[in-house]
Amino acid sequence: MTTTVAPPAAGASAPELRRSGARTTAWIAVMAAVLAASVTLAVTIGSADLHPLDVWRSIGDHLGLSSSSLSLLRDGIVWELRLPRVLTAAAVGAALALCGAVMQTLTRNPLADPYLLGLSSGASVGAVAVLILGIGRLGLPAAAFAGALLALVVTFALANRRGELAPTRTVLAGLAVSYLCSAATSFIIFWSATGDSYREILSWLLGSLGGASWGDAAIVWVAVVVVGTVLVSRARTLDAFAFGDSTASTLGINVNATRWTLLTLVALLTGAAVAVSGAIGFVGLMLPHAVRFIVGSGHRAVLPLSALAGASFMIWADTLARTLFDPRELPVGVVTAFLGAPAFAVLLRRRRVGR
Amino acid sequence: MTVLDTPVVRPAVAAGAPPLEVADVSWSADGRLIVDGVGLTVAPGTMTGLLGPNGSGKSSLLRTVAGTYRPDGGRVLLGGSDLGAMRRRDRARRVAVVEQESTTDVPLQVLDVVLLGRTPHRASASDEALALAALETVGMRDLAGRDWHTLSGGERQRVHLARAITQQPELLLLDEPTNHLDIHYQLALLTFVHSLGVTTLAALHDLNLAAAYCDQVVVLDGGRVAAAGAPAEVLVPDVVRSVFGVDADIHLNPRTGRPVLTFSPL
Repeated sequence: MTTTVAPPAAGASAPELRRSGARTTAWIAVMAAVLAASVTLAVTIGSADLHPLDVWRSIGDHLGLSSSSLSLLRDGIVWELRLPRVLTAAAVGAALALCGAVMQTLTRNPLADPYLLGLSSGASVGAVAVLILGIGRLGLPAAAFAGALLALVVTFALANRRGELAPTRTVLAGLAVSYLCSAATSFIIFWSATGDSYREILSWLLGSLGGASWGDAAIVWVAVVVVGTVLVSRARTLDAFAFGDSTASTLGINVNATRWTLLTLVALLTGAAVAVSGAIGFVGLMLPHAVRFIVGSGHRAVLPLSALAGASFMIWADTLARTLFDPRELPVGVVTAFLGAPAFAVLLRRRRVGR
Repeated sequence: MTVLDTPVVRPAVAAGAPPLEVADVSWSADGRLIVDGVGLTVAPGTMTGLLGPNGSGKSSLLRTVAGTYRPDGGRVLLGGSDLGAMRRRDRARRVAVVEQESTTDVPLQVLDVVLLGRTPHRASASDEALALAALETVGMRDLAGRDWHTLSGGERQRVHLARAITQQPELLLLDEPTNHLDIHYQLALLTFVHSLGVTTLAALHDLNLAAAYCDQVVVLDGGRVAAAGAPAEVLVPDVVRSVFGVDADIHLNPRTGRPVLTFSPL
């Protein structure tokens, strides 16, 4: 027989605290609606004059749910050109925001982003090598992905000490790998890039969703849904990291195993995003913080809301990127950096005030 | 020097609370033996103070008991079952730990922190009521909605204690829980802990606090047990001189009859 502490029953009605469940659900509903509206509107924006309903007609036709009289041209613009790009943007945004939220928790570093462990620079080496060798667009996602994973393995190997993955060591190891990969990328470009391939490489390095196909959309969506589901299912575990490794451990969490597993999943997700879009900064850093300011830091709320907010944000960043200087296209990474850097500065100031 | 005059009321020992038995436990780091064959027993529902100078192995012993460190030798038994052989999560359902000055960068409300105590348990609709009741126990029910970062050190420690209570442990481990607290909060915290009637092992710096609140004290020196027993038997001039290197005079608290120590350099 065991005796546990039984606190006296208190008058437990607490209206001001009944926030978690209902409020999170409401926010998720709102952000999902915003995402649906963003997809619809973003597809209509551009040179052809499209009505929001055309978007849903085209989708309905292709899914066999309806047969409208949408012209072949308009249908082509929606289904072949814009929709895959907008959906890829949404998935990339969701992936980066999810990764950022999890990285910030696992490394206990509020300035962590998905690229922290050398992931993006590793992916860049792979991608640039493929672009130079001219294997073509098919090989690019695979190479970027392989590069990201390789960088992660090297980072883990450097950071690992007696089976432990200490946050600070991990971040520093990631930094070293990042610099090495960046140098390798620059070297490859210096050695062999000319004309067209140079422009293609530059656009990829700055982040671009131009030419995103249904295949690209599928890669990232599958990754977001699968990895996102696993991460959300581990929300309580992630919450327990708030007071550091040793507190998490006394709460029954296997700290090292959790960190290895979840960081590998994050690497997979980042690899998928980087493979189709290049290195897009600030989304993964900013959005989780914005979400936390609104709903607090419970991961059951933070993870889905970061994903939804990241998706909508990326759609609009990419829409700006392709329309602002039409017909020339701005790399979307430039847009997110322009929007993100000021937001980052605000965040830093707030943190200083908070101390 | 602190002079304690808070009456200490011994709680009714919770019937069936399991004893803690630490048997010949050793732990070393980087080849250096930090905990050297420590054995101690904490009777059910009582509070034992772990005393000793800096570096004597108090925190390391606590972490070994908590399962954060894996002992190189020896066993830790709670109610007869080996804590070291238990799955981490099962252990966390039976043992709760309050560390010194554990804080976070994450924006959290007080209730969020207390709810972390439910982590090892299956999520349930009554979790929030449990957490609020624990806050009530430590006198912080009204601050449930406050931002963690606006709390004082004493309030934070009480929230951590509420979190530990919410974990519904059979054993409570406290690592210098009164560090940096003012005298009011030091007494308040230990009074709360004592009134819980949970088997408790607490590393304490302040010998007078230990004398006032603990049923038993264990003095560590260089990773070994230098003395153990009731405060009045252990906290004597000889022990204090040989372990802490200071002279001590022992008085009796007129209100509680507990020993009060005053110190002078050798």
